[in-house]
Amino acid sequence: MAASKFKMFKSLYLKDLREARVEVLIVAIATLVSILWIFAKTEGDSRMIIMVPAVALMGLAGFLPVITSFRILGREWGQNTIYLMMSLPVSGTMMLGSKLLVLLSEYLAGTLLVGTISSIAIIISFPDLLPELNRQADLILMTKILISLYAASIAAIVYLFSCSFLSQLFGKLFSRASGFITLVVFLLLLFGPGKFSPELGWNLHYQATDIASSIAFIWIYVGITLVLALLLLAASVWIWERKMEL
Amino acid sequence: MKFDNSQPIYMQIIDEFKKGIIRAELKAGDKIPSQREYAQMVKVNPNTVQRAYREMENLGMVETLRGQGTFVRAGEDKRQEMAQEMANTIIEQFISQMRSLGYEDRTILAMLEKHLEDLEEDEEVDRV
Amino acid sequence: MIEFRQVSKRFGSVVALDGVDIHFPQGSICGLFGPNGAGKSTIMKLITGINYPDQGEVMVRGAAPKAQRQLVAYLPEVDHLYPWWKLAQAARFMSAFYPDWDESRYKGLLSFLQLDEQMVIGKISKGQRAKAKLLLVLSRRAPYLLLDEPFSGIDLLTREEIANALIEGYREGEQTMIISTHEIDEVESLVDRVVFIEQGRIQLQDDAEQLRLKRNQSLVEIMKEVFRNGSQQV
Repeated sequence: MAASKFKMFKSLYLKDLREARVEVLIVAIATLVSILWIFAKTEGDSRMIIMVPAVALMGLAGFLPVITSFRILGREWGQNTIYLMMSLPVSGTMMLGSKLLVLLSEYLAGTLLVGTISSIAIIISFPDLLPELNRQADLILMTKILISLYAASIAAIVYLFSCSFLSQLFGKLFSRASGFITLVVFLLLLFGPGKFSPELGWNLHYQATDIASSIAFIWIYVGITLVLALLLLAASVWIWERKMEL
Repeated sequence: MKFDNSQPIYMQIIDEFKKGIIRAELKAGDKIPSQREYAQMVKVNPNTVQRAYREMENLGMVETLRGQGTFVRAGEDKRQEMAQEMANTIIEQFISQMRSLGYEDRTILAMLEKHLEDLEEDEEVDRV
Repeated sequence: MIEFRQVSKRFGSVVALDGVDIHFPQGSICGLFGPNGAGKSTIMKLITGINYPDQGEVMVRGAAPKAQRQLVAYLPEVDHLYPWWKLAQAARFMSAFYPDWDESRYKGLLSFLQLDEQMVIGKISKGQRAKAKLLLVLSRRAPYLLLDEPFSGIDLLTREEIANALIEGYREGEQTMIISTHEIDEVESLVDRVVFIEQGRIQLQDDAEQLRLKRNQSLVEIMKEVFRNGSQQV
């Protein structure tokens, strides 16, 4: 039984992965083209300009999965495949879980692609940079900071996906103004928590007196965000399993 | 085979086999199609065919031997009995319908004789 | 066995079902007949568990429909398959979810319906797509088969093929099949039980052969009469 549950999850995941394919390809091509273009046009120190497209593409790699999150669910209704999905003998957790994993895969693939390609480009352009850094700074600490920041971005994007799922499913409960309701709920979920606890964020910032505690606070932020995301996902699953009708 | 959709289909299936037996196209020991084959052949609900076959077994027309198929069971005696029965039914229907139109028995008989004579003449003409 | 007890369902201000009691006996092929908008699709969706009754209850083999989804093979009226799927991909997908998937039956039906595994669902004709939907449903040995308007918008020849495939694949006694259609003559000799529905109410449900015996009428004639009378009552 466990094996077949895995098979079901895999089938759902692979089916939806198709929706993310194009986006990852766009990010990869844009990264390669812009970096090769800079390599062709510049020399020496001016190559530091690579950082500009790298940051922009990071933004793109983070933004596209949010678009996908609306398409990956909305399309099921658009193509009537929702009839197939809802008649399958699987739980809402598996259904939404597989879609979430696809989106996460897209985010990871996109950001890691941009990160890796631009890092390699910079290391090639400035061979002295790495040994220099090693001498002047604590590489291990830097890695820790990078990892915690990346984890924070992952938590944030998972929260975004959860907002997207919940707002869409909630909108589907209404036959009229479904899109508008989705938009309002999405914005509420996105900015609501920040409005309710504006002090929490600032307190975290001010109490961080050294880098180590900053990192610790980032991890607390990651934890809180993920818990909130899980709550929204649980609500989405509940709507999918108990309330959704066609 | 085309069925009359205003009559129970299983009865029409039974009648079809009855006619086959009466005309001696089906003889005792002959194998008839399996229920599944027959359903596909005449494009009828397999449950309806099953009902017809079960009824035919009850009537002693056929028997199903496990793993071998369904065979005609009706011998000569049974054949004549069935022929008689079917003929009776048709005649009864004819008479009751004629009576319901208001014909008297004598008239019915006269009309029937006249009709048969005409048919005979027609057939003779055809033969010539 | 599928049982509807006093089921009502409305969509907004539209009453789709109005306190209906329906009994679909085990092992029968039931025709669900009625004009467009009579409530046929709603009945199908309630059995599949993608609609919930406002009142009353629906039972599939003694349990709520949602818990019995693995027993039901559902062919909705809409095209519910991914247009980019090849038939082979769709088949592999289905087989991952249903242990009753029968690969040899699938291969057999594929050639019976003259379909090719490499066909892309979004690129084939309407008739072929209808056959593709049927193929995926019939390749399962599902105890319950729900076919919502399997003949709609399909040419006569294909209709015949579909009807033949239904008989070919049907397993007496084991399978309960419900076919909804407003084109009764296609299934006249295919169904052994009929439910006539109009404006969310059941006008008549009975054994098909019993009805013929009692009324000396074909199902088409019975429907005309039932719905004429039904409308007069309203």
